[in-house]
Amino acid sequence: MENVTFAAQAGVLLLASLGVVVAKSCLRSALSLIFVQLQLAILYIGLDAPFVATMQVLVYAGAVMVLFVFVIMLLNMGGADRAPAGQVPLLKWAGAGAAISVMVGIASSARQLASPGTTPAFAAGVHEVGEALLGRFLFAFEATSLLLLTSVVGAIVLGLRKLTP
Amino acid sequence: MHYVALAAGMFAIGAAGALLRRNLLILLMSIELMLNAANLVFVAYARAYGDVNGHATSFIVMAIAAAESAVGLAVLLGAFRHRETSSVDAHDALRDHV
Repeated sequence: MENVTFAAQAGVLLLASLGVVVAKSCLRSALSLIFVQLQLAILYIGLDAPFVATMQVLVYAGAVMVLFVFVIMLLNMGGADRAPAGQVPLLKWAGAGAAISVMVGIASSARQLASPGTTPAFAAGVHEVGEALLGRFLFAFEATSLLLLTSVVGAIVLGLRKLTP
Repeated sequence: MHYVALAAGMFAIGAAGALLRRNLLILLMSIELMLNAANLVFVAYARAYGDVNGHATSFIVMAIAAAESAVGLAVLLGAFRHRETSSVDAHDALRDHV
């Protein structure tokens, strides 16, 4: 049963990542990538990684992909406003299938975590990861925050139209 | 382990997309795909060895990927303004026309 669940989730993940690369318009590619992030979060839940799964949804699907969609909107790269007549039902089925697979994936992965009989192989909640981040990875943690500050400043500077008024 | 094979497949798809697609935005998205594949490997091995360091590393990789995508999108905006197209082939100023 575990192998079937994993095979199904792996198949969905590979299909979605193919969708990112093959899609005709940038917006469909971004939507496929959001689906990839969610599917990866489901896999992380199944891998006893609740903290990483939450961060995946919050950071990747919630912030990075929003940036991508904003840029698509700004540069008007949505494209493909009129889908050919035969394509729309297929996309509707694909969307419904994606939603159903997300629900089924969350249900099957979360059941492994919540079942009272089995204890997970190791505990990887916020407490343990926090201890690792502020213990062994303290330098990397602080350097990453410095990197984030630098990237924010850099992105603002790169986005200015003219540096001198 | 099957997760590593899955991550390898995802990485290969992302690399193929980064090399074959001519759109800058899809290039950036393929890079995100590759980073996600690396994250999957980290988390899978963290569970195999019962080590939380894999999760911490994965979190830091996530933060780095977010920073890199922000800067990459700013560069994309600047490049789009410069050449009025989002095609990678438009930026060939350093190309050697042999």
